[in-house]
Amino acid sequence: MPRDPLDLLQGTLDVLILKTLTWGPKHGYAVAQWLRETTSDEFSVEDGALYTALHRMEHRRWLAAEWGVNEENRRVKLYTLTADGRKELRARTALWSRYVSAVQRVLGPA
Amino acid sequence: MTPADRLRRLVRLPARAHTIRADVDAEIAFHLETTERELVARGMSAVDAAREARRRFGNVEEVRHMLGLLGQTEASAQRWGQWWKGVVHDMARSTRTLRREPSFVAVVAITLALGMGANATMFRVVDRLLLRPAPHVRDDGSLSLLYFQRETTEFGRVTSSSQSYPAFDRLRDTRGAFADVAGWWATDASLGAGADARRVHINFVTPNFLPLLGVSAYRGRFFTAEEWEVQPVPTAVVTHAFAERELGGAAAAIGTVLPIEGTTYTVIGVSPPGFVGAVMRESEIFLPMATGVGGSIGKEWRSNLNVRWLRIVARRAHGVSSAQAGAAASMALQHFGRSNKKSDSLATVIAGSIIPARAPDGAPQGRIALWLGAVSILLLLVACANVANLLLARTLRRRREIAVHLALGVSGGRVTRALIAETLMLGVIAGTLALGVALWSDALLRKTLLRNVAWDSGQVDLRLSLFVAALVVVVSVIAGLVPAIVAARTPVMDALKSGIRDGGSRRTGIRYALIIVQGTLSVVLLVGAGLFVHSFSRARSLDLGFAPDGLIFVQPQLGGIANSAQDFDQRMERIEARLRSLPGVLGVTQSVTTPFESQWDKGIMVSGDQLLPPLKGGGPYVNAVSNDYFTVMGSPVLKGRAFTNGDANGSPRVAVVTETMARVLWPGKNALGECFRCLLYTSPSPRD
Repeated sequence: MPRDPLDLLQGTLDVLILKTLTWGPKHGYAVAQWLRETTSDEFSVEDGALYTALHRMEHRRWLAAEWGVNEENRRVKLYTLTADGRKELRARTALWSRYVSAVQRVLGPA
Repeated sequence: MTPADRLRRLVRLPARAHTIRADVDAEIAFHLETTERELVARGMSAVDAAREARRRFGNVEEVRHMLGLLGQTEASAQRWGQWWKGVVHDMARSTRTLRREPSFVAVVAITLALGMGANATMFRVVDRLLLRPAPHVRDDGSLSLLYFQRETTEFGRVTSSSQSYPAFDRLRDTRGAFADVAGWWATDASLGAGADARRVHINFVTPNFLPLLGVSAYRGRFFTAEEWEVQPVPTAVVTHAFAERELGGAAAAIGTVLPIEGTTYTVIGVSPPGFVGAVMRESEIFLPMATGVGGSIGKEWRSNLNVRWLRIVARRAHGVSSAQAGAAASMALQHFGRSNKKSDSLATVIAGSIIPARAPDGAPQGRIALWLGAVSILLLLVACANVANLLLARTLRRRREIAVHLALGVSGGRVTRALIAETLMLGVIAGTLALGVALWSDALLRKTLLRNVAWDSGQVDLRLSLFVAALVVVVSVIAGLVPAIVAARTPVMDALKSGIRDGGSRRTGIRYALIIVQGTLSVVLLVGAGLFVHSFSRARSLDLGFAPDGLIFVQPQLGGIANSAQDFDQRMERIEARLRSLPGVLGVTQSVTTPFESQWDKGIMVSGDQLLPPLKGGGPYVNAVSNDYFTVMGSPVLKGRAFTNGDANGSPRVAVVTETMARVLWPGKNALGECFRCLLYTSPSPRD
């Protein structure tokens, strides 16, 4: 039985999506799939929340969206990282590192 | 998705609401289907897979709603941005297009500028004359200027605004009508003595005049109630303009002395800038009535019933309407007239508006302003029709360009907007020119048709600019709307094909209609102008009964100087002699009244004791003149002789009557040798 999935901390989902898209444009399903595989299903993310985050970030111009066609000729909405998005990703990654090391210092070596 | 929607997406126009919803649905559907397929591939049943997919998604409806909202916010922000960019783009395009057609721009701008400029001027004039009381008069609805009307048998209703002092006194006590009543007399006087003497416009006022009008002193103070006394201290209040011009500023003016016609006045206060009194007449100095009126009206001015010189302004009592005040005052005046045997027994009092141009029986300035206002509106309509026609012709020339825009998917509304932007730009150029036209014609009006009005110097003020801006918008819409709508309705296919005829019948119809409108209005204006010129030239060539060319009227101000009637006569003789010795002077005469300036009427009796009834136009008018009067004035004496040196004090009294009077008094007979008697009233001048 897999462990109970962790709930994502606030704001973390954004940074994960941004990082996911550094490997090229993806549609929403592909992002969800990639996240699942890479985190080995550790996180429980409702797909709805994922799409909300995607649209929100598109509105804030961190992502650019375009409708395209996949291999099976279905219409899909592809998201790409913008320059602003990359800047945001760098900033948040740095913040995350600081956060993690600070917590680590308190908790000490296991 | 329709081709139009695809096109919109292609050119990145903001999506419409249904497209946003469709996109969100498509995205969610794709996700759910792909999840289902994957789950089925892993061995789930289709039904279970569907359920699981939805479960993993979360609240599908909520998410769909949220995404829809986000999309719409995005779209409307885009639309706003595009609208603004569109406006800027329109302006830029208009500038480029217009720069390529300088002569067109010039014609349109000048046409509109003339129309708008005339209207802007008339707006200022009408505003100043008809919509507002004299500057600084506080109009809270209770002030009234008083007018007196009498029905005469021959000439109908006669309205005057002057009264005698005893009548004024009586009106002051009218119960139930007025809370306060003040009077003034506007006249000219000489300031200073000798070679430095100059004419000033003064107002003799009752001490409550300035407070009644609601004016407060700009500097110093105004007159106090004690100044009603018979022997007051001669104090003066000066206008701000006079203080600035002659006394070195408002602050420095207080305390200066002004020698006016023999009395020395001390300046005690300065009125606010622009204030000239209750009516729009040039004014420089306000003096207490008791200090100087005697010199001109006579020492008995307070009890003299015969001379009507005083104008009256009143503040109605609380809750009393103009009609009620007028009725009460009429009763009082008629009673006064009956007890004193004056024609006031037949008069009615009208408590008229505090705006001087709204006098009953219309002051000429008010009527002139209204007429000119109507003319300028007509002018503007002609200009608009003209420009609309020009714009329409231009639009038709650019049909192909517009058709290309429409074919590319620009909406008809957008095309209209672009054209209106162009018209607006033309309007703005014209508006700037119009301000210049307004200033110029304003100065012209003040010098010609509307003299004798005390204008405040304001040039371009905020109200005028706002009015011109409003005119620009209105005119642009009027002139530009029809061409713009026609442009938007251009049939795309026909216009794109080459070799098309110039305009369908409907377009030509509009152009003809515009031309007809222009023609009609222009004819109306031309006819009006022609009539005006005709009346004017007739007035100029009227036979006045005397020869005005080369005549100069001199009015020596001797009021305060002459001590007695004899002294007055001697001074006048000396003045006459000095004038005769001037080179270029052919003759000098003295006269009590001046044509068009003053009249003097007396009762005339022929045989029996029957007073001559009032004549059409007033009268009978008399004048007392010295010997050379008829030669100097160029009025020929038809029968008999003119006066000579033999007709002096003590010799038989002689008179010269006009032809009209001779016909009235002695119809059919030779007037020479006939007699009449002249009723003696108390004379206002020192002469008998």
